[in-house]
Amino acid sequence: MRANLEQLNMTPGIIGSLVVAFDGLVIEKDVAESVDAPVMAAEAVQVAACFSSLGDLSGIGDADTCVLQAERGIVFAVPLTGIGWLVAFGDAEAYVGPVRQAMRAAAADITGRVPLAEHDEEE
Amino acid sequence: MGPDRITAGNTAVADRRSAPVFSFAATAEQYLAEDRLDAARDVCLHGVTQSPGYAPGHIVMAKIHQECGAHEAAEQSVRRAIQIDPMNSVAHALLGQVLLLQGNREAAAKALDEALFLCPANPVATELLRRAKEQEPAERAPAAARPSEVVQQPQPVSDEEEASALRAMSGVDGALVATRQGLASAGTMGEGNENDEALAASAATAMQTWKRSQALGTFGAPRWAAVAGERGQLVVADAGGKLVLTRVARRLRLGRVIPQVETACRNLSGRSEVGHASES
Repeated sequence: MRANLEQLNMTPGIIGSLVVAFDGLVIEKDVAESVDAPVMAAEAVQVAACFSSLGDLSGIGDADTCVLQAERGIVFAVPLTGIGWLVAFGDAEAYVGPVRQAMRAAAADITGRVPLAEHDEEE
Repeated sequence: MGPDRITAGNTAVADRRSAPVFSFAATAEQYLAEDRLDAARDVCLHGVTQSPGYAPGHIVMAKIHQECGAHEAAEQSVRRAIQIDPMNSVAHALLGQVLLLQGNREAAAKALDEALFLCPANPVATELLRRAKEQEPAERAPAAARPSEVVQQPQPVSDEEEASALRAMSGVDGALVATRQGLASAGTMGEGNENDEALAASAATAMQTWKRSQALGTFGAPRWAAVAGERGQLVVADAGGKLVLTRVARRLRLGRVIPQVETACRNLSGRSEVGHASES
């Protein structure tokens, strides 16, 4: 799991990543000590869960990635079946497509499940 | 208030200071109800100094300032309470009241809207909001009569126009505009979709949860959220007082749809940049 996070953090724009349980407790992390990442991750999971719950109502089905873009940063969250969430923090300029692909690959490796088809193929 | 009462009050203040720390707010409020302003101020000031992170203490302090006619100090205290506890409906209602007393009706209405969003059954906020809105048209009427100013106003864009423009994009399956209170105002996620109202309400709740997250606040105001599912992607963008929800094909790059969504947000909110009008 640690290796997955280290690999994920090599994606341009990513500044740290964590695996967080459904209740917000940190299972594994690879972030700078200066960042209060556990608190941020716990709140990110709460927000991501709220947005992910819109899947059925909007007709897109069960959510497999959630991206939260703010003015000065970006949060990526991917649910890990039976474990919790994979969360990554990026700077505002992080490229969404490559990070989502890296997140899905890391999530598949952690859970041992095959990811769904890529999202970012041009129409 | 006679000298005897002041002395009695000060003695009581000394006794109450040794009470459990969070009881000071109730004690101060009791003094306030009894019109013992000096005692209320003394107890409350001591309390908030000892427990600066206790929001009800700042709320009572604001009430005391307000009672003394110190509206600016009252505003500062209640804003501190909101900073500590952003979901406190009473604090937002009190802020609305303080702003109304200062004549700032627009900001008051915004604060009261927030109070009612958090607690729709708040009777004080309901009444104050009615008063704030009752007086607004009379004040705005003369300005609206001046042609030169009318010309300078930005052209309003209807929610329906923006929703239609988004739906016309290739790969977009549905677009919905909603108020920040979660009421769908235009567009649809798909013809005959019975979930639009529920979706708008849930999206508004999700956006509010994000905006109230203090830790995520270090990244600045929310701009948009994107959720990918097995049958498509949903983008929820903040347009100031409104939300723009767009459902796109799973295969579509977000980079193609986000600029269009952000343009819609700018048009709806009249802002120069999306996401810069986060709520207070």
